[in-house]
Amino acid sequence: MKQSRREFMKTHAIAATAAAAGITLPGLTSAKANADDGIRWDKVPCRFCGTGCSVLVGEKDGKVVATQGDPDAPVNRGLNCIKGYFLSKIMYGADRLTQPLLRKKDGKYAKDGDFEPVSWDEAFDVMAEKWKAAIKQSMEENKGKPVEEITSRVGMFGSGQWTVFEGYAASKLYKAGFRSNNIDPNARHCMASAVGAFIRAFGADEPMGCYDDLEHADAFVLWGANMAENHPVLWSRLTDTRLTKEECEVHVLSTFEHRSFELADHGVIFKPQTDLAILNYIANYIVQNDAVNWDFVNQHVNFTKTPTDIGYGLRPEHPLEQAAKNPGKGKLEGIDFEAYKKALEPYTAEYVSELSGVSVESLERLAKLYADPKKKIVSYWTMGFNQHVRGVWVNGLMYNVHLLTGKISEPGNGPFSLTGQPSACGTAREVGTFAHRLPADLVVKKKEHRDFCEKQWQLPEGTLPGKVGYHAVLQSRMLKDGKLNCYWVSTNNNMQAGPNINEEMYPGWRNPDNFIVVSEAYPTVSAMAADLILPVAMWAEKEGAFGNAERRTQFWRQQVKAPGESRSDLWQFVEFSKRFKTEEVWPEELLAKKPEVRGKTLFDVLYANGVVNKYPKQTVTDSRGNEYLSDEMDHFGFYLQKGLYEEYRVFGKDGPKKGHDLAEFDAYHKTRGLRWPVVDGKETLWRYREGYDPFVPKGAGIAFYGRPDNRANIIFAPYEPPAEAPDEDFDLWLTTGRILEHWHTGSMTLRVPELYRSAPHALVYMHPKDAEKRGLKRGDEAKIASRRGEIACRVETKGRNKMPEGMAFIPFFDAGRLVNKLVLDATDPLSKETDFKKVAVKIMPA
Amino acid sequence: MSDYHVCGMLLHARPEKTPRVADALGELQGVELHANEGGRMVVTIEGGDYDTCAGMMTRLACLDGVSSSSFIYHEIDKESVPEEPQP
Ligand code: SF4
Repeated sequence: MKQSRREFMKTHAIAATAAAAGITLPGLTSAKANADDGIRWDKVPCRFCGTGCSVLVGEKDGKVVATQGDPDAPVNRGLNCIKGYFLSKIMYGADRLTQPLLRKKDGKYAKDGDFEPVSWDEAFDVMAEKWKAAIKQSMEENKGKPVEEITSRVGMFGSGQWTVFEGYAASKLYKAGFRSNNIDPNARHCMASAVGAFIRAFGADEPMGCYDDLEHADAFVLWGANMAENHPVLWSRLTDTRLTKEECEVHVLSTFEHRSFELADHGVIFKPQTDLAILNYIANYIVQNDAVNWDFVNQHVNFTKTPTDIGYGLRPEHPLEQAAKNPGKGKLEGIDFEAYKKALEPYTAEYVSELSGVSVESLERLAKLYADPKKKIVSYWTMGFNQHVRGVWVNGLMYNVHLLTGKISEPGNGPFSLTGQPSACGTAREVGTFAHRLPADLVVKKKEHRDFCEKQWQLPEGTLPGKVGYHAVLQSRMLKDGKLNCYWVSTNNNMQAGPNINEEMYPGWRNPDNFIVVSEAYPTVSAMAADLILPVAMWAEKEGAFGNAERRTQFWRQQVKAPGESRSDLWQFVEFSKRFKTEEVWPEELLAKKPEVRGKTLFDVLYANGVVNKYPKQTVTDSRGNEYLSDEMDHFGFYLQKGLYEEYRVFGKDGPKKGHDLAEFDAYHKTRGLRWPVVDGKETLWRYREGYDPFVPKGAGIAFYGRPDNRANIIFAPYEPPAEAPDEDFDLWLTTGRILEHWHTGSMTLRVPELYRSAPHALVYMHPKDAEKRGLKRGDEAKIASRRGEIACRVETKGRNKMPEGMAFIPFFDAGRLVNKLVLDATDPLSKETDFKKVAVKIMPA
Repeated sequence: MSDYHVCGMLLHARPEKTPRVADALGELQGVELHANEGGRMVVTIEGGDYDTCAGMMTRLACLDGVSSSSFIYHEIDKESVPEEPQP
């Protein structure tokens, strides 16, 4: 009996795998997970990366017991990567937090106390008291100031792993409720440069293409993206195209050799920061060899240039900032084609080869590929471009190449910025949980945008502050400086992922004037550095929605209950709002504009506002009649997720920026997601192209309608050096990144002991000759020091990452080896995203 | 009887490298190759716990010649009857 059941399971595993491979095996027909063994199956998007695979989750007796790559999902067509294997286990780690924990001494909160379990009531009481004091002080400081100048002492650091509902609720609580724009997501560390470049070139965030390009393209070029390890399912699709399509080619560029080189027809190693020069060389080649697509350029493109010598986003007193001519400047200046051509001239093959270390032949091969009008090309990138002191520039230089050749916004042709987190797009970017953003590409600085938002949210005019809040890196500095005093960190592990931990982060968290709250499922480095820890429900323990890198919004139902007293972030934000009366957070002149809000709580004003609480309690079911839990609905008495979503949807539908339309709430529970803009129930695969995108007027062919003149910007930017480079004292480059077995800081994946064992500690990867020169060999313990700190790691000279001489790599997942202690908090001055990729270090025997 | 985990994995390899990959798979315990067509290989991993399977998945992903590896299916049979009475 037992045996046959296990045989049945195995047959099922084979059948599902064969089906995903498109292979027919005789005698095996059942490929789909079925319900005959008491397992309830439902679709849930994976929460481990921005690819956005759909997973079938099998629930039995309140636990997840099986998973399968969803064969009906267009993103992954039955595939998942190894991380998907841990979805079923991630919720069941032995050290899962199940109760709020507050630092206490003698029965009272004390900054230097030890963590003790407390009730939610006590946790929120203490928290609200701190928040109210800080807000009161802010109100004093803001007296008489116009709305464009008001500041706040409360802040939040959120996440690209928040559900859409959570991001929206948090943003509303902070921007409207607390009148604080000091809310920023960890996506600041990964996507801010991409966002900046999208807005500058196209006036609208997020890619024009979609994953269907993976089958349509003739050539793929990876720019600083290790897709084999970090976007494995997309990599499988790409591999499939490479192996089955004639003359398909794969080019991989990186500062060291990684797993993606296995498939590469052309692997290119370049010196850090010289991607700027390589892209300008390609543009120069296209211009010099008359490969410009003039029809396209004449009709759809403007030529511009960006200010240069803009500094490195360090504190203003830093010598590098003092030396910069135009620190932080980014206003574009229109130029003509001749001026653009002239600006490119210095970027000859010889000069760029010398600078980058790439051979002239290799450079020419790349340039010819882009210049060939018959080749359809997709360029992919992630952190290599984004975590870059010239991140916005380098993203823009990539667009230049695609715009010059017109290879954009059509099947198989386009630049594609990949995303690291499951909802960096759907939540952080689209909902606008950044310090400068509002939903649907609106920004706090524009009065017209604030007006629209205030109207939708039924707020008195002038509620929303017009000054950009503290971005991620600035939040750390302001905590340290005592200007930000109440800080809520949710769904991220910034104390490990953030830059320059020793000098800029830890001091601010432990500053006695500050109160730090961390919402977490596990005792991460960040949680342990907090004053209050709130246990969260994760992933399938709540109803949620994510948006992936191809603009696909995906929903899921709550599958299981969270352990103990864990509550979703959504529950936490909305429940916390009940503790504030409008009089405690808004000044008299604001209340006078809408007297009926007097005496009400923020919950009444923000969530029980007639829109968010519009949908009554109901039973959540799927198309087969299975019933699902909804803890938030049970608690609040209305369908909270639906109400939030329907209110949010109006921003895309009727807001000042067109092309952000989303479908109705219920539609998403029935589909494997839809790619926005969704108009009349139809999704958009390629934006800005007539025939695909409903917002392009008939006969226009192309319209980059994010911009007032419907034209995209080619933006010239030169090569400028990194903030620091190896010198006599610190003679090696160090770069950081992810590896397949761990994802980001590992706060979830390291809960899985077996995964921990398969790659327990971060290693420092280096060239054997570099090791030898320093008296080190494989397996030795080495000390790695930068100007900011030092850590110890074992040396690896073989294995999956092959370093060129002069370059070392340490993945950043290991809490015991905080590589970010070494990293300088140099940022792109335009996007405020930190450059984690270029650190000067020295390495010696430990 | 201990827990039972079964995982379905799909490996991609350049066709000329599949014989080498197939040989390597044959050496691994709990691993079976069920089909091999045009560089796509259907593989199962069986084991008593997450540990064994996870370790094996990583090994498959890193095998020489494997360009990409995907995880497709996983199920746990937990209805184990302990061989000895447990406290
Ligand atoms: S590729 Fe990303 S979304 Fe897909 S299964 Fe792996 S981690 Fe999850």
